[in-house]
Amino acid sequence: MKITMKQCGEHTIEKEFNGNAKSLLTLLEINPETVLVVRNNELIDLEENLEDTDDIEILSVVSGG
Amino acid sequence: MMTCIKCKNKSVIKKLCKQHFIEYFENKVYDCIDKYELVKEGDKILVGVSGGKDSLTVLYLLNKKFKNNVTAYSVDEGIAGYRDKSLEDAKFFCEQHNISLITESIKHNFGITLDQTVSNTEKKPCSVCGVFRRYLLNKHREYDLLATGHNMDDEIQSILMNLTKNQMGLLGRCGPKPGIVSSDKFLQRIKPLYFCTEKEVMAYSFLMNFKTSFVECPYAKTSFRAAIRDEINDYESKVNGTKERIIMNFLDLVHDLNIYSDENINKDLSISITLNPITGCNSCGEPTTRELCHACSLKKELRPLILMQ
Repeated sequence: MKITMKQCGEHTIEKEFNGNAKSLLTLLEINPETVLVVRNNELIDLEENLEDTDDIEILSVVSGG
Repeated sequence: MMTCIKCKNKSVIKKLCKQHFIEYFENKVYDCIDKYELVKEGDKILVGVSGGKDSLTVLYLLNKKFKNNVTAYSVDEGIAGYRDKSLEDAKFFCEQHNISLITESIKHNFGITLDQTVSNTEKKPCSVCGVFRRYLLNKHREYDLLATGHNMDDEIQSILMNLTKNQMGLLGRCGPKPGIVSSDKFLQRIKPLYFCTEKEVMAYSFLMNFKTSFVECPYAKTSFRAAIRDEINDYESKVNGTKERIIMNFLDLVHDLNIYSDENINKDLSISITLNPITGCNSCGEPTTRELCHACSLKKELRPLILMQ
């Protein structure tokens, strides 16, 4: 699974994963309150199950000053 | 596939599909405007726009409801790599939606950028930025209202910061329609996104395809506000509904405080907040409770640095 983290700047990692978006965030130690999860350019609910072939973006909701 | 609780289409957030989330969000904003009487018919609204998700969202929704009475306003504080990008987003958005945009800069008005101030002094960037930006915003009293994109998260952070710093008087800046004293020297502010969390605003701007950059102010990362923000997000993830309860309890408290401009004691709550009379700055005439307003005091302090630029 390709995971792109979009915060201040952007970086991409590859990881084997099967489960839902919420458990992916737990694995990455990211607080669900602080991000949106996007799969193949579409916003998804955190309970949504992911496939290992998915293209995932994790967008930080924190911006500004 | 997770489905929407209203229509069984694919759910995208809060168990709602795209259409029903957008409806939920917009209704929340317009309900806030109605319930707190934020806008009267015919009000000319100046919207503080940074180009970020919050300000573009509030600009979009106000323009949708009050078209022809909305003008966007941006301040360039002079933060390289951050403000220049977001101002491009603001300009693009306003052109796309045919909204007038006014841009002013701190450099032009005060002779120095925020970057220059931070590089050459010990001054806290948020304090300098806040003083100069608020000064410029308040000068536009040809408008009836100043709308900002402050969301629920911003508000909770402010409330907790004021409490921990024992700055109870500053609680007057909180609320969907902040302020303690009405005066023609102050441009009335409104916060239509008051009941929307930062995550909800981000989701809305994403679903509406607003073009914004993923940037955080470089000076915000180590701020006290950022520390409070992280703690509150941590609590929310452990105890769902924490943020909403803080806001609702705060609004109940503000309603009970009933602060007066002269007498200052609320006997029921035993809280006394002193409000000094508002006069005009000796230098620029803008409202202040001191001889010089904050902006002129700051400018005087930075004068040696300004002369070097």
